[in-house]
Amino acid sequence: MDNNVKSYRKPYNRPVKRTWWADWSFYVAYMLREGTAFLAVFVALELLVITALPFCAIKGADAAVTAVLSNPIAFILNLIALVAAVFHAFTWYNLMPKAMRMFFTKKPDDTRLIPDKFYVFGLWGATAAATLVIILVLTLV
Amino acid sequence: MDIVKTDVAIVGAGGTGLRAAIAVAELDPTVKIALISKVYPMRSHTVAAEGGAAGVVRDDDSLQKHFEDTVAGGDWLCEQDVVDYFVANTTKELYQLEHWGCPWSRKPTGEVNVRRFGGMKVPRTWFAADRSGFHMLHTLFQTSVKYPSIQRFDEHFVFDLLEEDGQIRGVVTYDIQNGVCRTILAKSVIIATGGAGRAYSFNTNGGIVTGDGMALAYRHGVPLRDMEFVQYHPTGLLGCGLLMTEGCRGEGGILVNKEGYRYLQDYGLGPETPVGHPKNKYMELGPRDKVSQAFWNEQKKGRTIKMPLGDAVYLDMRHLGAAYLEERLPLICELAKAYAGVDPAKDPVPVRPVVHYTMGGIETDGKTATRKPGLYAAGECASVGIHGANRLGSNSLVETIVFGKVAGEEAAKFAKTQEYGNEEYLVKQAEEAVRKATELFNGNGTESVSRIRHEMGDSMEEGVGIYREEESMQKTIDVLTGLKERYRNIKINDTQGRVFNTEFLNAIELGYTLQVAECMAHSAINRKESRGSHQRLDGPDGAYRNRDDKNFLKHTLAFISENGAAAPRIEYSDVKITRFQPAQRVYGAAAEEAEKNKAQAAQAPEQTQEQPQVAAGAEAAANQEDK
Amino acid sequence: MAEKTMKISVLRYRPETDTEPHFQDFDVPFHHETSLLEALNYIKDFLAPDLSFRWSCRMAVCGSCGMMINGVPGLACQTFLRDYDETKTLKVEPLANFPIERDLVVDISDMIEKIERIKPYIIPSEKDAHKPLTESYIQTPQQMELYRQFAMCINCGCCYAACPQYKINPEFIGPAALTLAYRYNVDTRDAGAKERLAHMSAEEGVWSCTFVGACSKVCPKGVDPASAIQLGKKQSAIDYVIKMFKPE
Repeated sequence: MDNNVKSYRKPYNRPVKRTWWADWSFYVAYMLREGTAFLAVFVALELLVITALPFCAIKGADAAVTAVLSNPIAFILNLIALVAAVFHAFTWYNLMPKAMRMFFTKKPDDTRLIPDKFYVFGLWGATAAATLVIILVLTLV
Repeated sequence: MDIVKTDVAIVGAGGTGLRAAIAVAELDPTVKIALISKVYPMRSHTVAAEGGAAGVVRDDDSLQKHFEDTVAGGDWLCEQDVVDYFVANTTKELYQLEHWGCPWSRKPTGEVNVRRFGGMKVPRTWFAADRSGFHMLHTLFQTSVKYPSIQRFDEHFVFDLLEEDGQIRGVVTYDIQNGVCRTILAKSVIIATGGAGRAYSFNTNGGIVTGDGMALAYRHGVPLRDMEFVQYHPTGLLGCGLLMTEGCRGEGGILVNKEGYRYLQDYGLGPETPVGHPKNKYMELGPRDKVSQAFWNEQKKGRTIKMPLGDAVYLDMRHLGAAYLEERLPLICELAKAYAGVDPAKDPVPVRPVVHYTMGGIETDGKTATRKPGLYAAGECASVGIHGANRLGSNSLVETIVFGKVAGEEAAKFAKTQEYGNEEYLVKQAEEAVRKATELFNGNGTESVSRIRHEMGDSMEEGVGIYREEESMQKTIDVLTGLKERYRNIKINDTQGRVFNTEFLNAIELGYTLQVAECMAHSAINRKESRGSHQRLDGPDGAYRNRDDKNFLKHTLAFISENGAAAPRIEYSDVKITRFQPAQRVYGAAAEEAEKNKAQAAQAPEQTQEQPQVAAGAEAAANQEDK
Repeated sequence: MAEKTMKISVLRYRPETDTEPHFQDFDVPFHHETSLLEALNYIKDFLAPDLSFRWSCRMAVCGSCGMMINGVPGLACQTFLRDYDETKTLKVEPLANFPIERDLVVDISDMIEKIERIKPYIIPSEKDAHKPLTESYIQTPQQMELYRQFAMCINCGCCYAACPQYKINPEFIGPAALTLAYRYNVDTRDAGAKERLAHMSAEEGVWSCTFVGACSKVCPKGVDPASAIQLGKKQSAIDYVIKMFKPE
């Protein structure tokens, strides 16, 4: 052994591939979840245009927007956006309980944490309620 | 060669090494510490301890009871003054760990809880579920981070101790990651490297438990004491040998043979206690040696269960219920499911005795100093004198912290009185040690390291197992002698590798283990009696089946021979007996009977005077430490 | 016992001779109880003595044998060949996101440094600094449950190997260390949360986590680092708000 060498190390750093996420289904699901953001942007723009319309003075804008939105492609895009939103909600609601840590009672020897499914059910319940309210409001208006 | 100068070098960073390092740092922050380990500290085998650590806390308990349990459990081969110091300091050390963050299991009121353990009269085992060692080790490691005077040398393998004028003055290490050697010059050295269970094939120990530190001290002329006493834990998982903690039985698990019969009642541990109502020192809560020996006898009688991976008995915990098991023994449930495909809540777990612990080790005095100035040893690698011929479960985890602290303080005090040795001389010695170790690289050997290791392990099981006979022990000794010869001719395939060359490291480790195994075998064959974990079946008219206090109430000392190659030289030293005279070692109903007789005898006036003295002795030891 | 055979493909790298890693295949006999660790030890004992990997306890508590098993981090001792298709090759690589030292051994010093950085020990309040060694803190089972799970980490590094954030940004303190920080912050014996929050709230702290959740998915001890980090974000946010109104 050469006594003057300080280290024989030659660590190898594996390159980070662009497609690192494709190697494991868990990452693919994560990328899909994050990918839903694009569709959320689309819907947000859509809503912006619709809500802004009544205040616009451009002639025929109303008709043009209605035409674009009633296009089957737009319809399909909206449908995909809806599915994506539900998917995002699904993944997010499943993760949500991780941010919660509460006990059933305050008794000092009660170590039972409120289980994840309580939060998940609660979130879906709230989603359903909010959806109902929105539909109700829209139909009444 | 890279040279580092420190004050106290600690070899091994498990429970003992970490505790020692912290003790030095707390004693004097200006004392430099080198904490050296061949693995990262949290990989140390302390991590695998499950059951817990003994410390007197209950009102119905006393230091005297812990003392008596320990000395009787060790079949009177304990240093009684050291045991006194030990029992007086356990609880304090356990509280210290609690203050550092160890998550000891609690009572609903928020106080620390204790559980029953084998051979202990009163429940006094502190536990962190069934991960006690894990939590202790991580608490100690994490706490050690806060002391800047502790410099860690993780993944540094020690080749040798450095000695000048009969005094230990450093170590020479191999930095596994960088592939270079590093000499660490120190004013005192503590060995805290753990046991040597890997000398046997079927063991509960991690792959790193190869007796390195024992061999290092032995090579420098320090004797290994009481090495014949190797503990078989009664409940190792069949097949892999993983530990099913004694806590399983402490919580109420029972052992049954193939007829579903609780066979322990046939071996002096009865009468049978009701299922689910464990009673201290009865039946399943007998000491480990007796429970393991009962298995051996059942096997001879053909009453064990034949399974594809060997003979077993059942550890039945079904009556405890899934919820309780999950709370008290979660790791056990996890291990049984993964490694044996058995859910303890639904099925009995197949178990058999398995090598677990080396009671013996580097000879030290009660303050962890070896007979070599500058060299200290503590923990499983040492024989400070508290385990005798059989260790009680939960005494060793707490030993690591009680004597780790002592070692740290003693080594630090010694270091402060010392100067460094002659650097040139010591470095030359280090270079020679490196040359010797790396000779393996140049040899054109033919022997396989793994084959020698397997043959050693099998031979140790055969000859130096639960029961021993002259003939089989001699056979093992012959095998070991042959293996030592073959070891000189081993083949290293990778002679280029410097970084993480584990093949090379394993070869060096094997050299250590072989030497320790040899000490075990020679110590065993020379002890012509049965005591604790050392049980013989031979002798004229079976005379060695009994304890022989006249000739063998002594410690065995194994010294390295003059040229190192020959068999160890066996000598004996006295056992310190202060107040607890050897008596018959009994458990179960027989123990209660003996107790009754003792109480009656104590009514005689001279006896009553002795009792208060006993308690005072223990108190005095406690007070002394408080200063 | 009838033994079957599985092909195991191991990523090899020897720094002294290799410029980059390559796979080497081994045929390993196995039975129902054979773990991947035992398979690797078989390879080391009989087929390739020069193969390097870390291991010790065999019971998933020492944290030595973390590696990529078919692309997913896990402990070799806790992985059983029976759970894999024996007609396919089992791919074993060193833990991702760490530099390879040799064969299956990686350099984990970065993770260790981060664990040390976040002050992973009880910092007692002034009142408790000199608590006598004759008494314990009172901590109810419920108070212990707040952190118990997060104290189960064995430092195996699987979570770092699974974390895409750590892959992309090596500065990220990472799952195990942040979990430990949270563990001590919620321990009723501790009064040092402020010191740890400095690290948690830093750029490389909890807010670098995008809640992928892979750490929790792979954790061999069920520690759930993702949970600890989200709870840590709460602590960090509350601390931020408090500081807005009560600057130091």
